[in-house]
Amino acid sequence: MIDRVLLELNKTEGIKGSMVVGKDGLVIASQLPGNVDAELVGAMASAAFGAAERTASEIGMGNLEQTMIEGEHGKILMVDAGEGILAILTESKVNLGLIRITMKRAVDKIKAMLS
Amino acid sequence: MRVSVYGAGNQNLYINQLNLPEKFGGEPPYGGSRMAIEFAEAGHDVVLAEPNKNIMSEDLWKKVEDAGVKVVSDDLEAAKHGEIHILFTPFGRLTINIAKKIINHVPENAVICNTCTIPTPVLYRALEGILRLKRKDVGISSFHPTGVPGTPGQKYYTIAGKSLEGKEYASENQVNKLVELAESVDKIPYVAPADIVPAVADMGSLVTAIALVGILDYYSVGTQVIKAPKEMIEKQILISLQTLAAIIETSGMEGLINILNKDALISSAKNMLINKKQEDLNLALKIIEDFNDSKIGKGDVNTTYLVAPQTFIKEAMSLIGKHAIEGIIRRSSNKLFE
Repeated sequence: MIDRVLLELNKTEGIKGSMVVGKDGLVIASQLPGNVDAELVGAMASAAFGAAERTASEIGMGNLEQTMIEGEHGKILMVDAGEGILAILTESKVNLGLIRITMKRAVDKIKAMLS
Repeated sequence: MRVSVYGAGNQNLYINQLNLPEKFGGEPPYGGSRMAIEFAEAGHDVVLAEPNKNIMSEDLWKKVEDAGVKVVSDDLEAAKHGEIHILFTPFGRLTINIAKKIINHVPENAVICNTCTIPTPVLYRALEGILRLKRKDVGISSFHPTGVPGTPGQKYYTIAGKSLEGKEYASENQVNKLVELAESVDKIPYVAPADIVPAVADMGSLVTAIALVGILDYYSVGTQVIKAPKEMIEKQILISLQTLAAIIETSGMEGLINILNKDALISSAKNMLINKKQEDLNLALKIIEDFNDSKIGKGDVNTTYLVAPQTFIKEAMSLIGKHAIEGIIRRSSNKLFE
């Protein structure tokens, strides 16, 4: 079920892959490119999101909504999906506004599936 | 109850190497096959899965079957049978592989139990992906005999309950079934936190018992004779235990033997012989003095971080949160038993 949401998400221009992991990094569903180690990236997403969440809380920013890591060749966006985290891999030059809207729609569906 | 036992037990080890009949009494078969016999004799519907028929002689297999146990060679056949599954299987990875093989086939609300070859939290973490996504109904616990099944000294079954971190690996109903099963074969059920079962019920209880003597000795001498602050004594105990544990983890027994200077240790520890009641320390010093290093050999000492794990975890949780740390604990635990 969640895989179907991810496959749909991956059709968005600029998105190279997506995954849903538990807040502890457990891979719930993954549609990442074959050369990416989903277990490892899931664990890293959990640690990065957790660190951002703690930082936001510590400096009084409230609940964390999204984390983005920008690299030379692409970006990783992570958003809170209730019980889990939705992470997507994108190309470096993408329409972030469109991707955020698409992610928001996907998160609503994922939250309902995980609850 | 429908019970599936995996692994008949290594009778060559029990009879020829350990000489259990003479040293500890009872009669073969010992181990998983004896557990199966006792369950069947108590009226339970029992399947014993053992792929290696040569693990014991024909006459011993006959005893198992005469007791009413159904013997199968296929783990999956046993998987479909039991509401309780007991893994009397080889150490570490092999047990995890069998658990992974059976978990999708066990009946609804079944409970899978380790015995002495893997700790319950490790088994749970290895199966966590399936348990959290596909088989939320299945529980994980232990049905850990405190001694070799078949010897009169095996009086308890240690059952893993809620862990020290507050996690419930099995439901109350599943744990109650295990208690009932233990009582039905006239054993004493001991429901203990899942994390401490290996330390008190495994063969490693030898280490726990001897280490506890050292801890109690130092605590007694430290607080009553030296009159040092309790916190200082506790921290020194922690440092000693963690140092040994960390070096064994990174470098094995060979690394430990390499880095510990026997003479320096003896010289230092002799200074702690403060009162006449410390027979334990006297005996320990003699054993260390007589110990021949070459029995183990010396190996490289790998990079080792000496940290207090609980303090480390607390600090890491404050940086990246509880969930991320729990994930790290799960993955590192899985790696330790790979």
